[in-house]
Amino acid sequence: MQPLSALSLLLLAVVTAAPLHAQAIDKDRSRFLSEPHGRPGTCAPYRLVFKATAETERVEVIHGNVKLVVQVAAKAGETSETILPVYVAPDVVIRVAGDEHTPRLPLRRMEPDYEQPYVAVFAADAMYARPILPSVPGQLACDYYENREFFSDWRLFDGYDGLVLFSPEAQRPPAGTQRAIAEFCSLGGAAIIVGSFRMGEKVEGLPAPAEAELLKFHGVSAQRMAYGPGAIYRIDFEELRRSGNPYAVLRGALLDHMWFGDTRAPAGKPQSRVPSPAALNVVAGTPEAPQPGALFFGLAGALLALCGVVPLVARRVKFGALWSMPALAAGAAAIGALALLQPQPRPLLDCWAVVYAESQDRQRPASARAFLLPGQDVDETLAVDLANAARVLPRPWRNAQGRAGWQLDLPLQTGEPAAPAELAFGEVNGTRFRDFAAMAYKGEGGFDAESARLLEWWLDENAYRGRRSGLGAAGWRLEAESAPALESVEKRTRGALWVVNRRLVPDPR
Amino acid sequence: MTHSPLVVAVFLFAVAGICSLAGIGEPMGVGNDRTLQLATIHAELACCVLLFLPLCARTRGAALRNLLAVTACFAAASACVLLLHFVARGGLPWQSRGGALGAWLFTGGVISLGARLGGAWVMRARVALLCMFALPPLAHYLALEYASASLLHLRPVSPSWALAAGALSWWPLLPMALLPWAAVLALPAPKQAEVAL
Repeated sequence: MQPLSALSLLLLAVVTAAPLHAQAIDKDRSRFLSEPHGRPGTCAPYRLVFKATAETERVEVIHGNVKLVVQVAAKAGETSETILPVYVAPDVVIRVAGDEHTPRLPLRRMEPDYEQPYVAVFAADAMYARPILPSVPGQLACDYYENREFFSDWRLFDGYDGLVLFSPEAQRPPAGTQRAIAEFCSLGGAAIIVGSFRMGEKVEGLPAPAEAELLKFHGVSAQRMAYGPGAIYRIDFEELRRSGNPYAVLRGALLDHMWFGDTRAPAGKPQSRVPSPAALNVVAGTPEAPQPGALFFGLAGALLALCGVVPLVARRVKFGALWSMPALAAGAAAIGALALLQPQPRPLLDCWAVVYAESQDRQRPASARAFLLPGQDVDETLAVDLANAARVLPRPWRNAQGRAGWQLDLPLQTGEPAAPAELAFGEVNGTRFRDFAAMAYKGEGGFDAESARLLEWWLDENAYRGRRSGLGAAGWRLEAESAPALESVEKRTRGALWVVNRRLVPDPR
Repeated sequence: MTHSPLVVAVFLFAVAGICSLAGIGEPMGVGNDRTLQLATIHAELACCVLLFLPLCARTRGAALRNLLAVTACFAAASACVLLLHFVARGGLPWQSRGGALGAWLFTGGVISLGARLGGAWVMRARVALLCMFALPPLAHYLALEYASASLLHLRPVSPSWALAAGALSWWPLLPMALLPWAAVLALPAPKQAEVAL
């Protein structure tokens, strides 16, 4: 065989094999499980079907300057599938096994709406749940799943306002259910359990729900247990079945949570994890001036001593004129090499956070929405490993000046709340909310300038009719475990706002 | 000459210390960051021309001792610059060493050549070096101002200009640095009668 023919064959093999390798993702079978629904700006569960080329494949979900990464166990050469959270956004790209794919977005965009909660419904049989809790346009939007599909990662529920779980026979839920529900509720969601679960798994470190309060929805009793800014409702299955109108009962419970116990919807848009369209007016600060350490002064003194003493000694020693300069050069070079051991300033990341909590008790669960502005030398893309225990969810974000950063949702947080100022009827501590925000810049209510920026922004978004909250400056910091990708970066919390949404005293319905 | 490295070290520490004072550094755009490192390196390039004192003897042995002294001055200056490693991230102090070595060797070679030729030539060499450092950016500015022409191609000729533009590198300084030393060592020793005179 001619060498040229062998080369041609090799090139042909590479060229024909390359497209096959590149098309690893099955674009027809990969889809959002919540179709046709999806909430723009949040994550929805996405089934990714792909042909693996190795025993583990690295899957990346890229959205602007954030990246979600997960290692998936697979079998080389065989079709594998995984469910992962994917942003419902037009610029999202999924990469695996050398292929990349832009997912087809759901057709129906579920914007946050007080009148139309968007929920995930889990039942032993999804067909059974549909007639009990149907999707009604303008009233309730539901996505149906089977109990065995229950997700163990809250990020797969990111877009939902609530979860409804039917478990009439006290089933044992899949592993990770408890933590996922706890994290979802700590981020403000409502979990309605119809029946009960046998929670066999022991989960360390999860705060218990608050004391149950008894409510009634259309004659059906429900226990409401606050969990951070969210809540867990428990309704007896038989009682619900006998009520004759389970839809009204369940929707009533969802609205009870979203309307903060009121009988009419608050004004404005509901609080959700959709990024706020109003830009937060914060700017990155300058890093603190680095200070010389003991090593600097020691080496500087040694250099001056070397430069002064060596020539003096050389005058008194034989052949001093020959060796003094080389010795001085060698000594200075050694000092210069040691100088490189001095620590350099770390890149700086400025953080602001709104901490949503259940009460002033710092032992109770809370969650945080952090706004991060990176300084120089910080990687432009924030990568989060989905397997990391902190379970944070980043989103692209820009401050009011257009500077790119990240918005991070962190479940199950703690903080140090200050005494709250009370927002009710558009007034904070009896002062119009805009006036109070202006006074907060001057220290009113225990706020400092940076917390006051958060307060002003939050009030503009939320100080509507029907909203009551306790607001205070909070002590909070971004833990290294929450964002391992930012471990080598110095994190500076500039301001934090503590928000406790107040409910009306429950009314028997 | 023997105290040139000490003078260089003291001068650079003084410059860094003065520039780090808020009231003095700030108006010049120098803060406690990378700009302080840059200011110190600029001061080092000025040291090359102004502070190196050669041994004024018209022998090859003196030329070799001048070479050793230049090396010692470069090492002392490098130690001062590298001591500012803690001020900012990035490797600017280290990355500038190649270009700084070229500048020291070239300027030291030219001044040593002047010392080899005679005392007055040392001062003339310093003036020529100052012109080499300062005139290219001035010429570029004047050409832009009056003729709308660019003389950016002269940038490698001036180490200070190259540093300001972020283009200080050992090329072409090191090859240029070899020429004056080659001339210093190649010059014939003066005849005895001339030495006596």
